[in-house]
Amino acid sequence: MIIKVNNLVKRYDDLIALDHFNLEVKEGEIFGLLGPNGSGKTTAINCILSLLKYDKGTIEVYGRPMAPDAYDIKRNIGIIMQNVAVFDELTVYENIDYFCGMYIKDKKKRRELVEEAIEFVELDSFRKFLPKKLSGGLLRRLNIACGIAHKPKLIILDEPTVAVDPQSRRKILEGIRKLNDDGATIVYTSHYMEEVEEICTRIAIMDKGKVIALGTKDELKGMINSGEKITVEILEHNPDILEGVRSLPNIVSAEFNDNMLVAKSRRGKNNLSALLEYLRSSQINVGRIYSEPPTLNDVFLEITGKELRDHA
Amino acid sequence: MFLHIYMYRLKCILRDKQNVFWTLMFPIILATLFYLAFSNLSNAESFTEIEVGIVDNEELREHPEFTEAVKSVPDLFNVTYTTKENAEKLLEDGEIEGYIHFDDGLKLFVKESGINETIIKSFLDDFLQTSSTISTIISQNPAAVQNGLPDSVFDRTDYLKAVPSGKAEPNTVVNYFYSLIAMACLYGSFSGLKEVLAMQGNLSYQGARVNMAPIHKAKIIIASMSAAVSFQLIAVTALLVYLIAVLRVDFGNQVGYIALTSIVSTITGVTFGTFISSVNRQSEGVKIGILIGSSMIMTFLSGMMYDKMKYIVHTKVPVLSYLNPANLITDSFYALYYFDTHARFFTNIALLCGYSVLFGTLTYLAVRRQRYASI
Amino acid sequence: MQVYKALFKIIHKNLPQITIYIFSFLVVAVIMSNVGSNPANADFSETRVNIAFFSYDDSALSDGLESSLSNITNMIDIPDDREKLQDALFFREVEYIVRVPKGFAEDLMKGKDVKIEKIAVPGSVSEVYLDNVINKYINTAKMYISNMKGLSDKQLTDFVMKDLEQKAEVKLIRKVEEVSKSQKVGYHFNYMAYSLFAVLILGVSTVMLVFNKKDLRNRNLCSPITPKSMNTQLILGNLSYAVLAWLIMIMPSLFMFGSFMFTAKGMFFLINSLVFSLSALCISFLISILVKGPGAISAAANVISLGSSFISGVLVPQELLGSTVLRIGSFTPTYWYVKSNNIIAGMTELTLRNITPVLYNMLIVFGFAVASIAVALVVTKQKRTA
Repeated sequence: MIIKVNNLVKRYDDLIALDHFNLEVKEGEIFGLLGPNGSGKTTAINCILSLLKYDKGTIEVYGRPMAPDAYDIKRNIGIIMQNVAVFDELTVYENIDYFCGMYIKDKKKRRELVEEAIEFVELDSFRKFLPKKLSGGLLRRLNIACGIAHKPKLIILDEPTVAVDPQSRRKILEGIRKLNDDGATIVYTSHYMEEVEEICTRIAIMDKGKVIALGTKDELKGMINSGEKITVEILEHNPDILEGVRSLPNIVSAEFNDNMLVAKSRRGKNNLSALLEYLRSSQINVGRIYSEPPTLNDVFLEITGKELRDHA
Repeated sequence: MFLHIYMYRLKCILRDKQNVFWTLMFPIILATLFYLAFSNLSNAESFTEIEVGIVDNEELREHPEFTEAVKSVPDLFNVTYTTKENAEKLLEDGEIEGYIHFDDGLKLFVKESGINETIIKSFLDDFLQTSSTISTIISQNPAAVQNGLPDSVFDRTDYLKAVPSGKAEPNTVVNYFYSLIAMACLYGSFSGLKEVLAMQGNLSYQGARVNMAPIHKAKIIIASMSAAVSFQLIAVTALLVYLIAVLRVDFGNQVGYIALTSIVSTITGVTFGTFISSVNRQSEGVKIGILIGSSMIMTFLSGMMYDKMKYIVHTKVPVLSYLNPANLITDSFYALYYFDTHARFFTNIALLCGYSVLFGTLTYLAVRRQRYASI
Repeated sequence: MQVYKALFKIIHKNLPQITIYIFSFLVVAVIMSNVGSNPANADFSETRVNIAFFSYDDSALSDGLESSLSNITNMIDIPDDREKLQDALFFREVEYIVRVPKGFAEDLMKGKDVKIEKIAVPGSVSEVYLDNVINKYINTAKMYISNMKGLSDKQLTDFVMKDLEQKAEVKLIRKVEEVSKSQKVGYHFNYMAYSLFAVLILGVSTVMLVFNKKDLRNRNLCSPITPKSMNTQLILGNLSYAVLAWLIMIMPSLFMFGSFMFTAKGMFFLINSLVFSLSALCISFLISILVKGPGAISAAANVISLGSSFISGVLVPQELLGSTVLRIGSFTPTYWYVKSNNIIAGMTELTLRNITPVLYNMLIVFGFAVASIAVALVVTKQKRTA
């Protein structure tokens, strides 16, 4: 077990940021911590890193209690914070070298590592640039390079893609997968469920300082009652059709949305064919047809009764 | 490791243009302005012959001994003999400080009450008093006239022996430059602030990242503070070289002691900054405000805006002059320049060392705190 | 009037920094009006030098010296401790220290070679003055000793003291009162140059920096506001800011000097400061084009306002500045502004002949305004084409 958090409680005055938070991260996985803004993801990370005081609970990293002076543990951790943490006065190269130098003493080795990191985030043509001159996406990449240059075995990324353009975001996600392929264990927090779904092997969904669901994405989706969402293009808006669809055995709800019929089904097999069977028997002309499996948002919605998505 | 952090921190400080301007350039600019404004100040105090008019009339010619008396003090006055009307005009135009008119007795006409007018008056008093002395002597001892009394009138002996006040002239202007150095040293607190921000996880994101490195905090603190002290030493040395070599401000001839003072003062300045910025969680702007405000008050009390302030504090509230690092720095330079013994100098240096240790320790205690309550 | 309003919103945001300068001006203005507010005398009064007097001689003659010195100086009570005396002399708490040695009177009467110790600022006016006074006293005593045998210490002192009662008559040829009042007003207005300049640079530069920002300028260029209307509003805004700053700055003078400000001299002080404000406004406008960021603004505001004040006679009076410094100072409007204030302060009566140089100086100050606007226009034109 790489990280083991047991009953962690953290209070800010009246606010309980972490409420008996439990977490286990295994070696070699890409562990996703998913939750809306303010659910306690960053607080949890900062407690694990021993940056924050906490009120109760235990934290173990690599089987030993984590502490601010647990230097041999820290040596193996790389962190990428939510906010860009680089020095404005240092160039791209110097920033990476500065942070890398806090882990690696040997100069020659360090130079190689810094070069590798620059190559990894594709900032080669910007190595002499000051952070001020970099665009948001490039800055994020520099931020990542500063965290991973020393080749840590455990990499913690806290919302590394906030406010990043799609192209940079893709690069970042690919990079994370590559780091994992090279053997690093990854802890990844985000409030973008698509990202988490895409790269994480195991996911913990957080809300109000607690883990409310845990498992692989399929396991998570299996936990809930909702099945696929079926969308059918229908030209005639006849309320009778809705009635008919709703009366089908495994269908939960049905609505018209513009000229689309949206039906949600329970978990189970043959939902789509049953629906199509009904439409055909009712002699209704059908256009395009989509069927979508449930998303993590559906999982979150069903457990908490609210949307996961960023409404901002 | 130490060197790695030290070099990069120094780089960061050197590349911070604003910081470089205020700590390196601003004191030099201010020194130049002081020099321009004060270069004539000590001349203003020193004596130059006083321009005096004497109305040339009948009554003056009846008193040849007065003209004699005027002649006996060639260094005191620059005399113009003229008419009453012209003397009036000269006085009005400020060409002369006053004019002497024999008009039914000795009379002095001046435009204002000042030290030069007082000197002219005291000369006239002197003349009248001497006349009185002679007539008293003659009335008591008529034989004195034969014994050469009239000649002895202008034959004056100097009964005064000048004792030097200190090792150097009591030139007030140097104190302005000394307290300016104190200001420059205290501006080291800005670099100190910068360093604390860069290493504190609850003050900056960079600090949080630094906190995750497998290095003992003390090592980071010492390396960062050394970088700040080094830069500040460069700034103070540049100022000193400028003051000594270009502006020719007198520091007395004790390079070793001056260097010692600069190093100790710089450390005090930097630790003051790290202390202020590590003990409270206010925003960076507020902290800079506190640093600027406190260094302004401290240098004001050590005489940077009004030289006598230092003396007033020293005599009226002596405790304050020992509590004020800026005053201790100023006083160290002053003691080196002016006093022949080193007792006061070493008291100052000892106190400055004490404050550096105090500020440094308090900084360490505040920064060492291992986990933060909030970030 | 969108631009005009925005301009004052920006200034409002930067008020704290600006207030510091206004506040420091108020503090200094109040302090200065209390310092040296000794009522000006219509009669001549001798300047009293601060001295320290120590006598180790127990004689009527040295007591006589002490009492005659105490008539014309301020005797400061300080212990005869070397370091304390050194401090006191350095900071001019005392300017002259006299130490009469033991047996001085006796030795003098015996005809021995005697000396009194003095510590003074070498070559200073007060040294020359008091040297003369003390030597006069002893020489008078010496004359009695050498011409009248067998005088006792007491008799000798009585003779000397009687002689010293002789005083010359001094006439002050004009009323000092009025001049000293207007001198104070003059200092007040001189000091105003520093704060006013700083306040204008800070305000105008901060505003113009915002309006000159590339994206904002482009957005404004695309807006339906015509460049002409925009510039008019900007000029109007800056002008009103300058006038507002001037009004706030002259407020204390109205309170402190009251009706004096409504005399002809007072009016000239006010007009002079208004002309200076306009000139400072134009220079601030030029600076706003040259500086790059908010950091540079506070640097420029400090250095320029402080610098021009130092070399133009605001902080150190012009008569105490060297001629080279004054020549450098004359390249700033502050120098001519201060010069005018000094002329107005020193005038006993206001005549056309007296006031002509003031008018010329105002013209020069105005010239600085025109020149900086011209340079500003050239620079902006080059920037736009570049």
